[in-house]
Amino acid sequence: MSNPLARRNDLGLGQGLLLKFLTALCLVALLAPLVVLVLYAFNDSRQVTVWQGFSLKWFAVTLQDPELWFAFRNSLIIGGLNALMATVLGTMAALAIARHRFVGRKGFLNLLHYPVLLPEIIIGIALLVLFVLLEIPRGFATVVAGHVTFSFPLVTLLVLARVEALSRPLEEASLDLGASRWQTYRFVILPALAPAIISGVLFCFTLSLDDFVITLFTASPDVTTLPLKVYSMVKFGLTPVINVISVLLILFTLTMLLVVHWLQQEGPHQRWGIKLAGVLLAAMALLMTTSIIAERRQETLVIANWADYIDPELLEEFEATTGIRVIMTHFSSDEEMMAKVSFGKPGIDLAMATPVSIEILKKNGLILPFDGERIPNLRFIDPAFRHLPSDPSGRFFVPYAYGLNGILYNTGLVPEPITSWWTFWDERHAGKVTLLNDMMEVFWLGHHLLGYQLEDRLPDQLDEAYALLKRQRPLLRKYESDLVNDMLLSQEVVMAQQWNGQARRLTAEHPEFRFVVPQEGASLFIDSLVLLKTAPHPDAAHRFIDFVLEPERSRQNMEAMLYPMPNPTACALLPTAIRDDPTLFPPDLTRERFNILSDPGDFRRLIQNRWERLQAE
Amino acid sequence: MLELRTISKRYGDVAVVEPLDLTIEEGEFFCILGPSGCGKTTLLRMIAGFDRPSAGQILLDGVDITAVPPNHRDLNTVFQNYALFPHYQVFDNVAYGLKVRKTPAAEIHERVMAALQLVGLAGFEHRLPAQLSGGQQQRVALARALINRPRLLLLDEPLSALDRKTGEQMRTELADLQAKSGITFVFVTHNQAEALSLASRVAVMNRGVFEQCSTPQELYHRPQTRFVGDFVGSMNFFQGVVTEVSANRLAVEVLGQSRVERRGASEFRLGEGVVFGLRPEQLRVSLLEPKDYENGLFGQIERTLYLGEATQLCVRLSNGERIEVKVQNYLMLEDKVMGLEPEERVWVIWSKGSGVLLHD
Repeated sequence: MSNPLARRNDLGLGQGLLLKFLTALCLVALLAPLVVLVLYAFNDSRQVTVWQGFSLKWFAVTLQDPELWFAFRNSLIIGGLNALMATVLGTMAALAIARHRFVGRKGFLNLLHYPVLLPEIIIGIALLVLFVLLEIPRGFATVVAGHVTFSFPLVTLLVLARVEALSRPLEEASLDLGASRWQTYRFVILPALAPAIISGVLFCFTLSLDDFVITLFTASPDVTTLPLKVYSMVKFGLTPVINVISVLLILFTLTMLLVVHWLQQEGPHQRWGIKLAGVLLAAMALLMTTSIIAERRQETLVIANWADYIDPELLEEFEATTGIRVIMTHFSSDEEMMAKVSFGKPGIDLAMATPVSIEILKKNGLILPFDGERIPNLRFIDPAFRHLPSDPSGRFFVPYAYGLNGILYNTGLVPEPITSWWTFWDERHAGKVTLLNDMMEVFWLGHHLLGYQLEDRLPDQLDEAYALLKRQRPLLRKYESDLVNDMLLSQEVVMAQQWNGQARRLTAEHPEFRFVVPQEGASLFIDSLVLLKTAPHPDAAHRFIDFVLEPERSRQNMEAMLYPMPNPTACALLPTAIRDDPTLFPPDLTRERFNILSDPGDFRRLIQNRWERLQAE
Repeated sequence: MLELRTISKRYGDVAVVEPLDLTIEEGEFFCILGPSGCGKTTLLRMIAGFDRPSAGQILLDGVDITAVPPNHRDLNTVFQNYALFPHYQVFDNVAYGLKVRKTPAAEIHERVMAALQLVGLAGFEHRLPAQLSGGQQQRVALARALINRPRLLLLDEPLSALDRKTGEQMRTELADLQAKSGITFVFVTHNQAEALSLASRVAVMNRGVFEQCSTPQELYHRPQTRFVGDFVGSMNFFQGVVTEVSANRLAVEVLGQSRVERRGASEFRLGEGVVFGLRPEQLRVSLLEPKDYENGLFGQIERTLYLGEATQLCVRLSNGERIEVKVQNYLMLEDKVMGLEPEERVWVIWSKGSGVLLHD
């Protein structure tokens, strides 16, 4: 009764179904995140996770952002140069290894695998240390060097496989037919290696375009690449712009893949196609390199700043009047800023620093005093802000803006008025609150609520503060600094510790949110500009500071940013709605209620230890 | 035209080619025949210039080219697996030698078309090598080499990658091509049939030395060494001692007991140890004793092997030695003198005029 043929068919069908199912599963797992990403690029809403309708407006926003174009152009140049250099080097190395015997050949071959096996961060740090040691200023050259370092071995391995498969008689046939060594390379070996070389070019280009870690360590702020830019954007909140960038990048990569695939197809189009691609690539690299060189001639100014911490129109005006191009590099924590400016020659002129950072930077000789005579507008600064315990002379910093953090909450979900920090210990809001992801602010709060001073540096008090915070930890959604407004908007949380400037942005658009300065008081921050010792353009730095301190411009800046500045003349020019807003200008700035944090010195290690334990909870 | 003078090749302690001399005349179809590993390819590569001889000289038309790189030697090579450039179409493959010498495009076109015509591949210019059959690839390789009008064409096992039928067809074409072009061919092969059918002279090579260098006929009928006799065709050998010598006759005692005779004069002396060689097709089997103009050895058929046109018999002689006999099948089918059953006791018979005697 059994027909063996039929049974085999059944079996085959069964396997086919399973296989199809698994294939489909793999595809879904691979593509689902991409599909979501692409879909939400066409979302009308500002929120990345809420669908509001089809719109192309984010494409317009993205394509009109000059900073993104700048970053994209940098990525293209770096990718192009890297592809060119790494492919040439890698191919030469592969030919040398395959066709010649030399001392250290084996070792070299083994070493080629290290960039693949080593964690990128180690290569990044190694490169950074090297550049610092050699006193090479970070910039295009260092990024390209870094990229070539990790990508040329991949080309070598790729081409090597092909060279080894390339039969030796082909070369002999060429010589036999009268071709010279050079003609043999040109007509036989290189064309036979072409698919591997093209793959190498594509590979290096894509690696460059994607690379984040090594670029982070080797770049200066004026060579921000697209991944660095996207990362710094994500740090300050997800917007559909990031989806749009992703869609465009996917399209770009796909097009490149198709072109390369087409070029790899044997056929008459191949030869001129490859030639055309080569000519185009070379032309592009040349054009961009010359444009960089031309740009280098133009004076620039590089500022390390918090994101959205200056009015962009002010920058445009400065560029227009002085001809100096301003490049902003953003950081999301004080620690990140310190890391950015502390090693070698980072290529940064001015940095936005807290009093704590100023103390450390000054101690380590990383900043220079300003020349007050070249900043006549310093006279507009409120004298109360001109001195710090660590710098009584006030020459090392220029106060820029100040602010404080309080409680931002959704009145729709928390009906009763909030007045006290102790609300964060209220079980009713369990899992619906965030505190800032900022060690010093959180421990300042712990101390302050117990009536202690953090600057007393007493371990017993620290432990008490720690116990208090630990008690609050289970009620906390998370420690969060960057996405606070987004989480409130999406109702993931109902209440959060937030900076007043950021809070003001949300309350201005969404009246259901309210910001309060709790009755216990708050910690005050002052952001000041400092001049780095390694600043490449100190003159431009002085001119810039004088420019922004001018009262009318300070007013414009304050209105745009919604952070108060210690510039009474400018404040007087503000519209009353802003000038009288207690969120922005708390009425009684007394020492008891408002503390300015100072550097805890060695005590920091103890705080750090408790902080890590809190985070691990 | 081509002269090798005490040329040799060593890799460390291993001698691949022992010092040897060779002169090849203009227009010859010269064949180097030998088993794999005998050094024949190395010899060819030294002539082509891919390997440098350890000692000795290579002269082409009286000029020492030992140190001349391959691209400056007026000779071309057809490689074992053709070594066609996979990324070039047939036209560009054939044109390669002209292109690298900067020949004008019009002349290239004309000569490539003529060369393709010559090898019967007109109309295939735009194919890629991967789109051709083995035989066609072979022809492209030939055209690519011949278009340069070399003084000398080297062919390294050019037919061994082809199936038998195509290989045999290409053999005829090669012979024609050589005759038409008048170019001197040096042909390396391990296939004795190719060597015998194509060459004007054959050098049999073994372990880095020339065992014999002569015309195909002489090679087959008068092998000078046991190796040549066995490698070119096949041969039965018996050790023996000369027991009788006269002006036109020689008697040898083989297998310690049987006396066999060989007509004709020879240089052997009485009591000398010799090897008696007999080709399987020179033998026949019979139930009847040999006539007086024949030699015969008695034995038992051990097994038979049907080959199509012939049957190969293995006969075990009384002392245990085996002898191969090849009988044309048409003979057997016609007279049906005897069936060829294993276990049958037969005489193995040959004419006293057959067989070769070699020094032991």
